[in-house]
Amino acid sequence: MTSATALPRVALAALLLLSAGCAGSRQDRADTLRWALSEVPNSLDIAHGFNNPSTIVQFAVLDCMVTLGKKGEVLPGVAESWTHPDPLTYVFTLREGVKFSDGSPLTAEDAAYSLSRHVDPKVASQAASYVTMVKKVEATGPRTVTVTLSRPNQAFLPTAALAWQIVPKKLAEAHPADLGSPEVGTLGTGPFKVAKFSLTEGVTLERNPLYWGPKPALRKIELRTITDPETLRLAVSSGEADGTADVRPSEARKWTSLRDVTTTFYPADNIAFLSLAVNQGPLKDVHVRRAIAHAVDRAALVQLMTGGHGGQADLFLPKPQLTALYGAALPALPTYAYDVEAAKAELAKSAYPRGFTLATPYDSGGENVKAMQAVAADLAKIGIMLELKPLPSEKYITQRMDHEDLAVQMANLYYSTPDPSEVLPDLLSRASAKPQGFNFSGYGTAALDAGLDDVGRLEGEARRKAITKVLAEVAEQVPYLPLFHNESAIAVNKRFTTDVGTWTIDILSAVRPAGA
Amino acid sequence: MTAVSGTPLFGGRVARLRRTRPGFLTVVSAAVLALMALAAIGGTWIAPYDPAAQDVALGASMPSWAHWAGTDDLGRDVLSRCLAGARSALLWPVIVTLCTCAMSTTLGLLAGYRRGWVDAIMMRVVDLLIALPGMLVLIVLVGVLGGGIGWAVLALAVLFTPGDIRVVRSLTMAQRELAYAEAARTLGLRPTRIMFRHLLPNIAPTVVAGALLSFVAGLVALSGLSFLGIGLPAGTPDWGLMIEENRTLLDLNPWASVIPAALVTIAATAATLLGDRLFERLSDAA
Repeated sequence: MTSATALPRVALAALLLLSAGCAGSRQDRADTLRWALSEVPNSLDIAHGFNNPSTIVQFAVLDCMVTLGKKGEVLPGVAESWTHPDPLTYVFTLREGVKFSDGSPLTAEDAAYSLSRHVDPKVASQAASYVTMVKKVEATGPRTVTVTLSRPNQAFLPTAALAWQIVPKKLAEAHPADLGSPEVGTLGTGPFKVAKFSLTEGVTLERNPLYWGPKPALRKIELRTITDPETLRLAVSSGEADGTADVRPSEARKWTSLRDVTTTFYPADNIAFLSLAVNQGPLKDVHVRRAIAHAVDRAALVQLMTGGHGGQADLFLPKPQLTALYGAALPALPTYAYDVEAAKAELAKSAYPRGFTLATPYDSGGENVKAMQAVAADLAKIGIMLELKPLPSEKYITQRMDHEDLAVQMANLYYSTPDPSEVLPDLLSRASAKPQGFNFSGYGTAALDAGLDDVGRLEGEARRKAITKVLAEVAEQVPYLPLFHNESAIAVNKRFTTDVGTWTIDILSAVRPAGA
Repeated sequence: MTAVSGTPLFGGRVARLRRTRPGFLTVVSAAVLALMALAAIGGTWIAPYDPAAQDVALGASMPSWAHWAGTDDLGRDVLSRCLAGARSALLWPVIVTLCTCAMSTTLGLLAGYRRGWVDAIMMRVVDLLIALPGMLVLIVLVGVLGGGIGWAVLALAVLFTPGDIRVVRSLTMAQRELAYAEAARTLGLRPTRIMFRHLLPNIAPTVVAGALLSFVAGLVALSGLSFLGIGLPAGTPDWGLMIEENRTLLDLNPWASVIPAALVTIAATAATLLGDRLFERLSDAA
């Protein structure tokens, strides 16, 4: 071969190699998902990281004993079946041949310990409140786990789909307080395994070749944190990130206008409300609370906060739960239409007919800053002056969970299960009216606690009646003013598709390369 | 005695300054600041709408005949809020400046004139404070103390003071060795009288320039704190807070954040230029 003929051939060969390399990188890119989170995942263990950014990673790596279907129904997870021989007992049978991503087999001991560890004080689990009904967990056979409850509770199975994440007993016992940390990591039987976890550099997940279920469509997932919502949107818009589930409904219009990005909305299992601290000052008076309920223009708040992707809430439960319970025929309970004159009339019946002033701390970095301003302006019309006091997020959350200076607070709580037994005791029981509980109103009576027990215990129509009774008491006494429910959204580059709904637990596994 | 005790204002420099022609930039800067000061005093009266009045149904809208700078997402008139916002945007930096000036001048004079152990202790404290990362300390401090503009102003004044103390101290040390200061000591005048009646007028140009720079730094820092949401309460008409609250509305009404951002920039530039020119002219007039 002469040099004159060799040169074009070498060039051609180089071009072919280059194009093969490019094809390879395109392939890499096609099954690699770069996901953006608005907050840093702090732990890959639900016991120490029971928050949105952490759980989104956890559910891709760790299987739960059971899972939820598209309608919120409980489906087999690591347990292929279960029986419910009496109201207090559940017997789960594990799938055969399930292995952790390091190749070690999953045992009934692992599964049992993964639940019982949440009540161990050494673990100090953030999910402990989800397993308070559990009395005993035992491995009763090589593939059998028996759970005994202290009282009947309909919420047990749905919460098991969330909180009963399966980890190896040996690893969890060795690291009661730091399992899931960047130093220790975690090990699961889920569709992905952890390749890298850093608080500063993010998380990298790789396909778990030992996964017992269908082969995951994605080979690799890279998660990183972008805290500023505008920067996050720009990252997804420019293709620097392939998707995110942190789309604020109030900014829906910006997301839906992005080219090359598909934004999918679905009803969220949430309720946004004002909590009125019934044990403090003027808010002790039910007429004051009803006056506030009449004075707040909730329709305007819906417009401000949901960007057309939500609606006004009249009953104190997330909308998907109300729909599941009552269908379209909601019970006729007292509601409070926006009516300034009616609000003034209610206030006139109270001990504070001319109004009063309340110091109102709020999270200056939170999503509700504008809504609190709108509420303050509404209440000022009837003489109730809210002195808004900005607090940095960390301090605000600490103060709120310590139940300090609660007065009037706004919260938008998202739940994960379709069962009202998760929401109602969380917000209305006397046990939750203490520091670290979510009953920010402090409202609670022995009769209401008994009603909440009925909600957990009863089934069918009797249960629906028990729930209606609780909702009626909230509507009468107004410890909380339901404001709105909204949709959640997931935005992904058009190179990917998603199949995500209200009850999707593992969001990352629901994202697939387009055409896959 | 009258020769050293009857010093006119700034050693007669202000009188001489009056006789010199101010430059174009000085006039423009002074006019801009004067206009802003007028807005700070009477902004709420001349505003076309109540700056707090909401119309959530209207929401964010682009400029129109009814709302010259448009509205934010709570339906509040942006122009009215900019006018009313001048008060908090300028007032708090002025307070920071006055506090900084009072503390740095007093302590700087004391350290520079007394020297010895007073100077040594004061300078070590100054070294310590200068070594602190200012904005970070401020955010942590305001966060720990629970927010609020009062703490922010106090913390800023404390953080700005050390740098100015060093400047005043070094000038004082130079001045105290001059003949007029020596003469005053020989005549038996009290140290406080020498410091404040004789040395201070001679270091005044630097103090004035430093004060204007403190004003600029205060304006920018407080706007930054408002932007971070740890200064003023939500809803207060304030330029920094408006930038933060309206930055998500760039697609609906960009003017809602661009105008307050421009106002902060213009105010800071005008104060800096005026400070520079005043320093030069007061020094030249010496």
